[in-house]
Amino acid sequence: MGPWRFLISRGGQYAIVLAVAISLNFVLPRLMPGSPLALLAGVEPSELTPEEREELISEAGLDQPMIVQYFRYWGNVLTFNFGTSFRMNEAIGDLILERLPWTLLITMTALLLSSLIGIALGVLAAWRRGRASDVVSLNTMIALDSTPSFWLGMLFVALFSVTLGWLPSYGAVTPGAQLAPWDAFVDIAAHAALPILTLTILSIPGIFLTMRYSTLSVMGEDFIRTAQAKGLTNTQVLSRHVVRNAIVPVSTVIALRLGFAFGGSVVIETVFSYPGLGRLVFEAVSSRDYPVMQATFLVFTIAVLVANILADLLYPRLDPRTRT
Amino acid sequence: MLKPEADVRTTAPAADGPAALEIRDLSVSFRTSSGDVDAVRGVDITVRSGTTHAIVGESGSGKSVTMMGVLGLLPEEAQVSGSIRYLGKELVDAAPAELRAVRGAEIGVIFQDPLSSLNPVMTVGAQILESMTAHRGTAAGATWKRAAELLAEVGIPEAERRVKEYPHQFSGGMRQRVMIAMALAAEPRVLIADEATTALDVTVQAQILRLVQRITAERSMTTIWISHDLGVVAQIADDITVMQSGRVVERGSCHDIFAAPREAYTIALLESMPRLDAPLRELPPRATATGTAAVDVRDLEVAYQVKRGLRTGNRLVRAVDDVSLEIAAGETVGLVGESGSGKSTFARALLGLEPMRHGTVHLAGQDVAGARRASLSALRRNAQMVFQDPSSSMNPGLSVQEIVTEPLLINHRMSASGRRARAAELLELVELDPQLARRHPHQLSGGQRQRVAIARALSLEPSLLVCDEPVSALDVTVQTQILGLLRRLQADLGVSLLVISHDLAVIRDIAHRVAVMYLGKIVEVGDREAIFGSPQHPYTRALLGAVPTPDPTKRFPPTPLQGDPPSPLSPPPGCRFHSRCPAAVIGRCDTTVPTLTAWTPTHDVACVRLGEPELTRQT
Repeated sequence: MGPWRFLISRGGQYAIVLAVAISLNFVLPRLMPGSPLALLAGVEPSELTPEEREELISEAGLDQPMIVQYFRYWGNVLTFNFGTSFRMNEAIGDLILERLPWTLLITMTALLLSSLIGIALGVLAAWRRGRASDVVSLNTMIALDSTPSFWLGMLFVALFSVTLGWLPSYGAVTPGAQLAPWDAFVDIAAHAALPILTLTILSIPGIFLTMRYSTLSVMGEDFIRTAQAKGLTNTQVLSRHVVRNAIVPVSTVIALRLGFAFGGSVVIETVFSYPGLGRLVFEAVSSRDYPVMQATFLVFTIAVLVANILADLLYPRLDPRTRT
Repeated sequence: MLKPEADVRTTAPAADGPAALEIRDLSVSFRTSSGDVDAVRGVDITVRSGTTHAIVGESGSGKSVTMMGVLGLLPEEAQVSGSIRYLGKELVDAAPAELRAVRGAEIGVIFQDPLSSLNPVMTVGAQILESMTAHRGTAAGATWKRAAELLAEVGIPEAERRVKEYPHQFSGGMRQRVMIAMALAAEPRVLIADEATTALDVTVQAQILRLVQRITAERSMTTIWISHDLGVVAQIADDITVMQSGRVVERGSCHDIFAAPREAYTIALLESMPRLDAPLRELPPRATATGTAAVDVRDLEVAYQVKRGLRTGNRLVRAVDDVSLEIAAGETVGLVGESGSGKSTFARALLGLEPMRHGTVHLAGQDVAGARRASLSALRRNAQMVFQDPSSSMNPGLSVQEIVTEPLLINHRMSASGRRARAAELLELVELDPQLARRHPHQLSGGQRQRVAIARALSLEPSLLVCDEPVSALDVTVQTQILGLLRRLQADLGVSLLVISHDLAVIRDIAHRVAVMYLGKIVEVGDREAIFGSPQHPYTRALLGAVPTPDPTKRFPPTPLQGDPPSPLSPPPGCRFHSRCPAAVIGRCDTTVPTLTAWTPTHDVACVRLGEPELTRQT
């Protein structure tokens, strides 16, 4: 089945998942205790005069029947109209579009780097199983895997920004600076360097451990013995037979991380005051800006869904047995 | 169509040919945490050029370790001493590059399980090409065209198209042909076949044996055949080396070893092997026709929905199609057929483990299909199962006593001391030392494990024991013991047995009656004297004809059956066997569905041409 036919036949399933996620997003604030006014207008109803309350309720459409509210909500979602952040007084759709590129920059770069490094180190450790280099890297990775991200981020700020003064410690660009294109690029890269470094280092262990284990189990397979019996060199056996098979389960791990990368950026973006979606969530949570939280959660859900679609498309390319 | 492998070498080559491989005083030991394990102890083997040399032995004999030593593919912790000379060149302690130049280019290998021995994510063509380029570079004609030619040479139809396919798209027999094409790709002078037909159906095994013989004869290759199966060895070998516990026990020409074995171990091997030309063994008496049958199956159909594309919709696969079978109290029925014939599905359906679409199953008079959950578990107490691989069908974390008495725990709530006593009783029943009750499965041998599996199945005193390939994973000497145990248990306990096996000689040694299945249908059923003495259905005859006889003076007639069974997704119309049947008549066999018809009172056959004199001549 080609990728297009695949998307068409699976499209229905993806659409159902998306519709359920969007509907949950509608239902949840209405299930919470108290008036949805608190969630939808950002104020405690008790602080308002009855007239103000009436006005807000009709403005938010809460006086309409539930079914009308539901369809109105769908219309808003489809037109990317999530209302206005009452803290920042800005359209939420615009806010998300403004923040999204920064998050994409640091999370996708970190995911790419950590995948490449994790896979390479995982294969090498498995190939040298039980030797010193394997034992050292395995233990390092387990230690890294249990390192809290905020701690490592703050350590890097202290080292690279405060002590050495090499890299900026917060923000995505130098505020107010008018820079030529190349200098602007360098400025952005310098600001992104520490968040990317932290995210990369913390993502490597999971990929490393999966790849190492997967490589070890492939190395025990009968077809590796066949490849050796053909007279191939170790490098040929490793690159053509071991890695090609061992990468299959790792691809699932990477695709899942792609989906959850946005959520994982909350702590890092907060530590580095990086103006991405993660920091937006943090700000929204601290100021109880419910409409913003609701909209960003929807974006996170869509990210997980997109990552799953990518994994579904990628898997048959890596493993012909899953092609139908 | 497939090329028949008719031109088989029958004459032995010159006796004094030069040695292709000389192994002298070879020892291999493995360093483990619990001391050294000596796998091979001072082995001498001489393989003459251009001959087929069989190395025979049971598991742990060191036969495979020896051959891995020849290829330099032993694990790093192996300690190797002695000498292995290939055409005079020393291979022990040779440099890695020198060994690589021998592997594939000089010595090609085919392994036991072709599915796991082929890389699942590479096309078969790419894997064949790789064998060529590893030694000759891309220049010397290593092309897809050459890969397709090789596939055609080993008898794969539509090779041009199939060269771009992946291993999982081939059937078991076709995969082994791919392995052979791959082993031949770099044109080696020696071919090592390590249990190369053990995982295949008997009909496919016959085809592969013939193919290897034709190809090695055409190319004047030397073949080293590693096998536990004396039937196979008798059919193809010029010389034989018998190994046991890492040592050579006996060596000689194939004819001498089979005609006059000298060593006790060789004699025991030959005697314990079940064979079709031995006198029929006496079986425990079964109950006479009166009384309730242990099993009564009527018109059983087990079918699965198979998901297809959007437009084609779902298809129904009838794994078991309209099957009726009765098993009397104290009777053993053997169920035979190629893989995919529905044997195991049928057996599982008896225990209520498969969804029945149609028909009835009665166990000791009780309806399985009509039984509700509670009474279904009561019914299952009456029918217990013994599986092929005892090591994977037991929880490795439980002790033998816990394994054997778990059914009691679930069903009877016997006290702990009662269960302990019962465990000892059951172990004695299967001729095991009750002291073993505290051990865990990994501390037992394969035969002991299968005895534990039988003890577990017997713990609830069932009236039916379903044994799915009960001895296939065991060495022949152990096989004989387990079959003897089953016969004795039947005589003592009066239990009925349904034994599934791909090995017809095993069935002949244990079953009162035999049912032959093909693509979900029973094509012939009758007393063992009838099935083995005067088989009527062309498929039964083909199956029996494909069993290698352990006698080098009776080598195969031309291959009895070509090709693989068709997919159960689209069974051929009419008689399902007609597409492979040597006696099929177009216009009759592809239009009329044959039904089981009484040939004698105890022998039913489903063949449109049953009774025609020509049928006998053509099959």
